Amino acid sequence: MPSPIHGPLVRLRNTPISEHPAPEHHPTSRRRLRACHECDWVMALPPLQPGQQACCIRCGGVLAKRNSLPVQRCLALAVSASIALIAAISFPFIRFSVRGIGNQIEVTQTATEMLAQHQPIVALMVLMAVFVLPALYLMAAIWVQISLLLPHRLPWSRTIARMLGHITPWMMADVFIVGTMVSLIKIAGLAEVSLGVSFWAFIAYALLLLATTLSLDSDWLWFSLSGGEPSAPEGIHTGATAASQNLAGCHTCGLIGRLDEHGHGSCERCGEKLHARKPRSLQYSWALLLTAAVLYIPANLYPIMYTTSLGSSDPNTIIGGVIYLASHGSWPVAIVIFVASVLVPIGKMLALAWLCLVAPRAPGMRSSTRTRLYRLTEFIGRWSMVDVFVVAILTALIRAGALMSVSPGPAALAFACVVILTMVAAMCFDPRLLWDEVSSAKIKGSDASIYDNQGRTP
Amino acid sequence: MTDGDTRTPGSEQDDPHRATPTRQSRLSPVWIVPLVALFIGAWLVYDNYSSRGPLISLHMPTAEGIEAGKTLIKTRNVEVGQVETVRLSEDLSGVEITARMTPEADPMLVEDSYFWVVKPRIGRGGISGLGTVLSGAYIQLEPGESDVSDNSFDVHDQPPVASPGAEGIRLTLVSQTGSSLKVADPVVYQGINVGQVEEAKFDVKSQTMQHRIFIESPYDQLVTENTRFWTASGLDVSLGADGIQVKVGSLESLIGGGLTFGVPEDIPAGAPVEADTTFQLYTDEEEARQGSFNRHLDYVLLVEDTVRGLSKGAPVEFRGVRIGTVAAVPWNFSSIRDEQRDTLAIPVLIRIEPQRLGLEMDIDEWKTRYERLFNAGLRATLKSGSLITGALFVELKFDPALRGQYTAETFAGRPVFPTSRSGLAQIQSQVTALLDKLNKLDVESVLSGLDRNLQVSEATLNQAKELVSHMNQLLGSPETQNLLGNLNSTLQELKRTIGGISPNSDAYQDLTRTLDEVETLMRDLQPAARKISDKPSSLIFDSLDTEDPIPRAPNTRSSQ
Repeated sequence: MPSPIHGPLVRLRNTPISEHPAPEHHPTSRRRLRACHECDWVMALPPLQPGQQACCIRCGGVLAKRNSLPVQRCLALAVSASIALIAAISFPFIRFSVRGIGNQIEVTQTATEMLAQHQPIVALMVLMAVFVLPALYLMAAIWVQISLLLPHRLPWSRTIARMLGHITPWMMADVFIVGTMVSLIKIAGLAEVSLGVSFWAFIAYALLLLATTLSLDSDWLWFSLSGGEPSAPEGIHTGATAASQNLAGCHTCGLIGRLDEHGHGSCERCGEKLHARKPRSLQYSWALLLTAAVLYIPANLYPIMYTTSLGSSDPNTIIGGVIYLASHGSWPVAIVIFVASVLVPIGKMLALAWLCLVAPRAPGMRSSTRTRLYRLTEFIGRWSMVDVFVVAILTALIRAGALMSVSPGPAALAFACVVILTMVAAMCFDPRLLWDEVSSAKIKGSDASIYDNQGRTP
Repeated sequence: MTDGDTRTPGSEQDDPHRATPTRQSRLSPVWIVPLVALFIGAWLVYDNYSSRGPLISLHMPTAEGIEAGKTLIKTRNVEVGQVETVRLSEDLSGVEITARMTPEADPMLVEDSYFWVVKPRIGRGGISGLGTVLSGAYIQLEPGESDVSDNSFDVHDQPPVASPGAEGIRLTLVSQTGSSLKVADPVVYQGINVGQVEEAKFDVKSQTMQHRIFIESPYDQLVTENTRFWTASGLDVSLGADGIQVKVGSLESLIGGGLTFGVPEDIPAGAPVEADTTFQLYTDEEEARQGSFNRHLDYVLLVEDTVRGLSKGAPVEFRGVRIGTVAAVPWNFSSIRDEQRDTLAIPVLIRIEPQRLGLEMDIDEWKTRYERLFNAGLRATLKSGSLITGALFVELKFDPALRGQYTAETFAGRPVFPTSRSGLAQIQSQVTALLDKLNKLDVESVLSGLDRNLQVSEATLNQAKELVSHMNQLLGSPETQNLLGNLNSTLQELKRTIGGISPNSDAYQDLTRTLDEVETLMRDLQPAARKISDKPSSLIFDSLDTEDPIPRAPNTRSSQ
C-alpha cells in the first residue's frame, strides 16, 4: 500500500532512531487511528509524552504507551535479564539438608526432575513458562531492538517482533519466584535451607524480565520497524466500532485494516491476521472452560504431591496443603496458596463462564464492568501456576530417598492443565463481544450480521 | 510533537474520536506478582526471625562429637535447638558453643537446667545412646525447675542422675577416706536400686570427699536421722580382734561399687530428714554400726606398757560386754604429759558408748557415774583378745586394792581413765612374787630335823655297836649264852628304835611330802614360764573367745 507520508519517513530515517520524535498525527486525518482491542471503538491516538499512555475513551483499555528512550531502555533491560538468566541457570539454586543428608539443585532441575518423575507435560510446562519462552522473548526483544538501532533492519525482524506479543502472557518467571518462596516456607520447618547464588540471580532475572515486557513499546516498535505508519483505510470514521465499518484493529501493531466480505484480512504492517471478532470465540471458550472444570475435579481429589518422610509416604492434596500451612501458623502463605490454587481457578472459570453466558445479550450499561472483570481474569490467570511450581521445586529439591522426598501426584498435571486451559479460554474469549450489543444498538450497521454469525454460539 | 498540535486542551477529555492520554500509572499491575513474592519473602524472614529462640552459650571441656550447624539439642528426644558455632574459649581452656534454641525452649532455660552430651555409652545399666552412632552425638537438655532464667550453661559429660523434677531427696555425704564412689554409682537398699550418686568431689579445704546423692521417692522415707551410710564395696576382708571377716556384696556393687544405708537395729529410726542433710559416709558396714553411737564419753588411757596389737576400733569391754571403742592409738602422742608421771606413757583415746547398753542416760550423768566408779577401783587394762593375731583390747575391771586411790587427771583436755599396769611388768611382778613364795618355803627346818634324826640314829648305832661288842664278850662268855634271851629282847628294843626312821616313820613321811610338793610346784611352773617367755600376757589373761554383743543393722549380709 503506497504510503502518503514520505516526508516524515525520510526524516525519520535520517535521524538516529532513538531520537525519533513520537509519532504524531492529525486527529482529522487517517493517521494514528486505533480500534480498541477490548471494545472495538475507533479513535485517534493523542500525542503522547514519555510516561503517558493513551486509553480508550469507551472502555478505558490501554491503546498505547510511551516511554522515554524506548529502544535503549528495552534493550538494556533485555540484555540484563538475559545475563541474569544465564547466571540463574548456571549456579546452584537452593540447597537443603536434613540430618546430614543434603541436596543442592540448579533451577533447571525443577523441570528435568519432573521429567524424571514421569510428568513430561508438567515438566514441559515448567520448562517453557520459566525458561524457554522468556529466553526466546528476550532474544527476540534484543534482536528487534538492535535491529531498530542499526541503519538496516535485521532479517525476520517483523516476524520476531510479532512473536513478542504472543509469548508475553506465557512467561511466568515471576510466578515461579512466588512458588519458590512458598516452597521455602514449606520446607523451612523440616530442613535447613540455604539459598544459592542462582536464587538471587533468578529474582533479578524475573524482575528484569517483567521490566522488559513493560518497557516494550509495541506502538513505537512497529512505527520504527516499518518506518512509519500507513494511514487508515479510506472512509474510516472515528467514534464508531471498527467492525461496523468492516474494519479491524491489528492486535499486534494496532493498525486498522480493512476486512474482506468474510470478515478476514491481514495487517498490512505486521502481517498479523485480522478478524472482526475472534472466530468461534465463545465456542472455544466454553469448550476449554468445560475441560478445565472437569480437570479441576481430579486436580483437587488426587494428591498433588506425595511427601515421604522417614519411609512413610503421605499424599498431599491442594486443600490439605493449605490447611497444613494454616494450622502451622503460616497463614499468609496459606492465603497465597488458597488464592492461587482455589480462588483464582474457580473464580476465573466462573467469571469466564458468566462472561460467555452474558456476552451474546450484553446490556450496554454493564459492558465496562464486564470488561474490567475480563481484564482481571486474564491478568490473574498465570498465578495459579504457583502450586505447580511449588511441586516442581519440592520434587527437585527434596530427594533424600526414604528419609525425606517429594514426588508429584496426578493432580499436578491436572491442575497445570486447568491453569493452561483457563488461560487459553480467557485468550479465546473476545471482549469486544461484550460491547457488540451497544454498538449494534448505537450503530445499526448493515453488516452487523457478520459478527452475529461469528461471535454468538448457535 | 514536532508536528503541529491543533487540539485544544479543553476538548481533549470529551473528544469521542480521540483516546485519552493519561499518565502511565507508576506501578503496573504486573508488579503484583513480584510484590506477592516480596511479601512472602518478607514473611519468611519475619517468620524465621520470630521463630528464632534465644541464643545460649554452652561450655564444654572438649567439643568431641559436636559439629557447628549440625548437632542438635534435644529434650526428651524433641529437638529444641541447634548448635550454631563451636569455638575455643578465650583462655583456650575449653570450648564455647553457641546454640540457637527454639522459642518453646525458652522456659526450659533456667539456671538449674542440665545439659549433657549423649554419646554411645556402655554402663552397668546396659548400653545407652546407641542411636547416636548413626546420627552423631547430640546435647540433651534436662529442664530445671528454677524460675531464674539463664543463657549460659555447662555441658556435662554424664547424664544427670535424676531429673531436677524427680520426686525424692538429695543428701550430702561426707567421708574422710577417698572412696571409689563415682557419679552415677547406685545407692542400694536391701538389693534394690533406690538412687544414685550425683556428684563426687574432693573438698580441698576440709580434706573430705563430698558426695551428693539422690534417693528417689518413695525410698526417701527410709532415710531418717539415725540412718547410716556406708560404701558397699564389693569385697571386704577385715582382720580384727573378732577374727577374719569376709563380706561379698552383690555382683553389681562388686563391679562398680555403690553405697547402701540402714538404721542400726538397736536404736530408733528417728524422724525423716530434710533435703540436703549431711551424713557421714562410712567405709563399711561395721564402721557404720560402730559409728552409730553418736553420744560417747572420751577418755584417755595413759598406757605405760606396749600398745602393740591395740588398734583403732578395738573394743572396750567390761567383763566381756562391749561398752566402747578405741578411737585413736596413739592419740596426741606429742602432747605434754603430767609431770607426776615419770614414765613415757602412751596416750590412747577411748570412747565409752553408753548407747551400746541401750541406756538412755545423759552423758554428764555417765560422767559422774564413772568418776564414782573410778573411786571404786575401776581400772582399764590392755588384754590380749586373740593369741593368733595378738590383737589387744581394753578391759575395764575393778581392782578392790585400788579403791579410793583415784585422782582426777586430764591429758590434752580429756579426762584420763585410770589404768592398772598390765602386760609384761605385771607378769614379772607376779612371777617374782611366786618365786619369793617359793623362797619362803620352810625346807631347812625339815632338813635339820632329818639331820637330827640321823645323828640320833648314829648314836644309837654306836651304842648298838658297843652293845654288839659287849654282846660278843657276853657271847663269848658262857653266861652270854644265857643271855641270848636278854639279847633277843635287846634286839627287839633296837628294832623298835630304828623303826623311828623307817619309811613309815613320821619324820620320813614329812620329808618325802615336802620334796613332792617342791617337785609338783616346779612342774606346774614350767608351762607358765614357757608362756611367759612367749607371751607374757597370755598367762595373766584368760582367752577371750566370747563374741561381743554387736548391734545389728537390718542389712545382714553373708559373713565369714
